[in-house]
Amino acid sequence: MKAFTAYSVAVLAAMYIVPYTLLKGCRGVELLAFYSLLSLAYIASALAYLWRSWGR
Amino acid sequence: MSKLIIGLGVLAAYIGLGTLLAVASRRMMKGRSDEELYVAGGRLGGLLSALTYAATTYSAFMIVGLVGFAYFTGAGALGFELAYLVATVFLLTLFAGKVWRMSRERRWVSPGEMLGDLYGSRRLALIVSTLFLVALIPYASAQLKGIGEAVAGLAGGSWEAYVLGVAFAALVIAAWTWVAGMWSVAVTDAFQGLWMLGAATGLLAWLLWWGYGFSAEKLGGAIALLGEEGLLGVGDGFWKLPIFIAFTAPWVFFAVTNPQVVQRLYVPRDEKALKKMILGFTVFGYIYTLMMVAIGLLAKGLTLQGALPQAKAIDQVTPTLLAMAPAWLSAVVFTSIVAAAVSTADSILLTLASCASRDIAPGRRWIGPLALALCLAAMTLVAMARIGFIVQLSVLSSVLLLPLAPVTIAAWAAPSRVKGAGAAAEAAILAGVAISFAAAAIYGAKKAFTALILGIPVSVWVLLSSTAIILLGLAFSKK
Repeated sequence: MKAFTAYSVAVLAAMYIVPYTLLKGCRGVELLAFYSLLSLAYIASALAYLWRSWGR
Repeated sequence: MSKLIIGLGVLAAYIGLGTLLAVASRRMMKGRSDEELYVAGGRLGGLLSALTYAATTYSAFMIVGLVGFAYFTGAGALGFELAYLVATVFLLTLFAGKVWRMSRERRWVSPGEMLGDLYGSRRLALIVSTLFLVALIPYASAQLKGIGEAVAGLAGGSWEAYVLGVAFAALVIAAWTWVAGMWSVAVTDAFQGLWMLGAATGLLAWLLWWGYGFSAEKLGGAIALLGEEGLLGVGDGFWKLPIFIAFTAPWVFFAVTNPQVVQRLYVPRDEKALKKMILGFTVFGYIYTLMMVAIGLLAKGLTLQGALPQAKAIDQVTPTLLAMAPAWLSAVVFTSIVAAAVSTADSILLTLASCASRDIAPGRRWIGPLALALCLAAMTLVAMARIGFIVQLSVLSSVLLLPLAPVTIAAWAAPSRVKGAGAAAEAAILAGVAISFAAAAIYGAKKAFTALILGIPVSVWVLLSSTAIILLGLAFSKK
């Protein structure tokens, strides 16, 4: 639970930090790809955690 | 056949089908107890739960507002909406199971009742439910106003068409809410959610075909133009970091502050259905968000290439697209805007009625229907006034509900520790509300949302103050 919380907060923080540092002012599709792929990866991992951890 | 006739025909088909589904849902209802009326007796399946959660969450803001935001402000709009989704998945994964189990044991119906029970304070339930009424009636009125404006747009902007649109929407909301309470709301939400997803898919596919001929080369050209305009990055244009924080702070806590979605944690019939609800909502939300932002950016690409007229305002992007689309598609998307607004408004209405029934005047069976009628009348009258201030107030509502975030999360995380800390919870909520109102008085309701005090958005000050008070209160009550 604590590890999952720390991981989730890190992902959320990355959504605020990375676009304003590493990807600031980008002119290609990098930022769109970053937001959509990071979210997709997080959602997939959170749902996997949900399925594994609940009801044990 | 004119666009108006096709539009009204599709709208009539949507209302007819929705009403049939609402009436059919009565067969699943077992009496009209509060539990049955407001939380479907806790017997909803996973798919229905997922679609009602999604349709309640995603209002007309998505197909009108988010498309417009992407068009005018670029890629930051995707980050803003996905930050909400990621935070919601996190909060649901962490707390939904626990909240669902407690709702079974303690027979919660309204979210105010939940907080009152966890903190051991009837007065807290009353304060929270009153706050819901104050904050959410303008938000629901803005949905009705949106429908009125859409209908008026079909008829050249006439006042009569606007009033007719609002009145008709109010009638549909009343019928679909009253027929079988949460059952009819959930079933029509599912229907409307699928309609919204289908309409968005159709609009995106048409845009790719009509505007780009499914050509990767043309898409590449549009991306290059968007990049040159600075719409593919953040930091320099609209989405400066404080603005991004101001926009996202209220929404990342939406799943714990908005009673219409909190109440949906009580409705799945078992843990399996609850898991399916979270999965279904997440998949819906991710796909729908990507489609809305893609539509906005693709439309902007066409404008930059001179193939689509420049939209004048954020809420004019979708109507500009619909003016170019085939009549049938325009009618389906127009109806999806109505569906998104109705599915959000009727869920809010039912939740507010449950708050009145359980927290404001508990034990009186007539109070629920009376509250339903009064809330709907208030929503309709406010919408009929057709003033821009409604939209500003609805924006403010997200900040007004924000102090509930630390109070609710503390209660969900440590239910045994918050018992007896009702006074601290009340102080945390009232302090946050006071800061919101003070900011609205100083900056205006709309600007309070993005105003910075010492470089920090008002919404963050609200969160910080409420969090500090509740933590201090808990520490003090423990001693």
